[in-house]
Amino acid sequence: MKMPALGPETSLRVSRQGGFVAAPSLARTRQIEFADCDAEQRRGLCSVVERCLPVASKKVGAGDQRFFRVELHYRREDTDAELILQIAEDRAPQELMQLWQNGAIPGDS
Amino acid sequence: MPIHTFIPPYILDRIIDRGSPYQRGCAQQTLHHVQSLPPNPGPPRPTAIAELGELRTPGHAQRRIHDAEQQMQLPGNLRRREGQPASGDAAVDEAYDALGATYTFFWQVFQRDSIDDLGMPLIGTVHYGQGYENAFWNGEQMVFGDGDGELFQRFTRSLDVVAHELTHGLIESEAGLVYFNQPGALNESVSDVFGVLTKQHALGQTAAEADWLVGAELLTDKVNGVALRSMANPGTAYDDPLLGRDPQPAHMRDFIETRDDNGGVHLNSGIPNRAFYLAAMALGGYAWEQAGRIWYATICDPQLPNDADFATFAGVTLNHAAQLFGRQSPQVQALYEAWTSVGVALR
Repeated sequence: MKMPALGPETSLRVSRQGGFVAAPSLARTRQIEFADCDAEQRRGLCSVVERCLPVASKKVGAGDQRFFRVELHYRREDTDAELILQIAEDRAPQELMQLWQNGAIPGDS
Repeated sequence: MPIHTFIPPYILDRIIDRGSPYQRGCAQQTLHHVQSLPPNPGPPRPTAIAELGELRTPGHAQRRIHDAEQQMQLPGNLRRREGQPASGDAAVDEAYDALGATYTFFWQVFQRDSIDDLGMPLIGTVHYGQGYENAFWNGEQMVFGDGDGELFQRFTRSLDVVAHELTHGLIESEAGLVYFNQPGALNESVSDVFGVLTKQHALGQTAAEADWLVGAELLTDKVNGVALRSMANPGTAYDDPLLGRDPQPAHMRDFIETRDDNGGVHLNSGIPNRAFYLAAMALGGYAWEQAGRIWYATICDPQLPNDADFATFAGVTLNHAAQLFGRQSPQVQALYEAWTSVGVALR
């Protein structure tokens, strides 16, 4: 899986899902619009997604194990497109957890 | 049919925005701690499990309770093994007792020797992570967090939660219901069913005496709710400013189409949960003696496909009710009415 080319209309959503509780608010969905970010922040966001690519899996969550869901919504050749990644909690990169937990973007001062 | 693909914006970051200073501090502390940890090495080594397997003693559990000491490495330090006295640590001893009660339930009612019916040791880890708000089965063992203390207490407090996690292992050994969409919701529902049956068995409760709640002991006094799920009335377990509202449907007309939570496995499980409750209440007595027997025979039936939807599963329960109690039996009639009442069309 490769990273698509991402323009300013891109939207990134990160949520934590699954688990025994699975209450709606525990997903704590974080949505970031690329339009609100400068070039360095966009590069930082792309680096987080790139770190997720090798550890993403379709089979996550069995037996109440929690996982992160990363959604990229973007435009490709004038049509809406999306990239969905699911990452088991115990395989999640630090950068993803930081982004989900407190909105920290790598390289953002 | 409505499509609820995404979490509505009004609940986005609810806890981050409205959480107490303690909760925010706890989250930050957890983050720093997790960042300092090496990667999770994975489940216990198969060799260790094989070694324990040599101790097979049908009719008696082989338990091992480990302590992760607020880290996230499994299995953690061994704190109590089979036959040893209470450790004095509430989580360790609750896990030990609850796994024992679950083993006893499956042995006494179904003559099943542990998760795999081959005497598999029951391995549990407590004190997993810091303020960790979850319990899970990872394919080898059960894992329990302490909760954040604000919304959730430690997950070993509820016998039905411990039994729910063990049942996930049992399902993997039998029906192998895939964890996605309707078969995933059945996987969750069957775990809830045997979770509450274990509790009812331990308390000696009839169907009418039971509360049919899942995780009633987990919520703190600060949460406006009675449990995490209600099998009698799915969707009514909690309605809280921080936690949100119990989203479970109780009928097929409210079935949730979503890409979240592996297709809503923890949401749509409310529908078969209520079907079981209705059948058990109609039949009366101890729920594990009739409805429970039928459900157990169903998940152990090699004819049940691992991608069964609700209607397929319901059909297999009816077949087993007929085999166990007769085609014209009250049990078959009760099941038919229960599945019909929740909107599952029988084929």
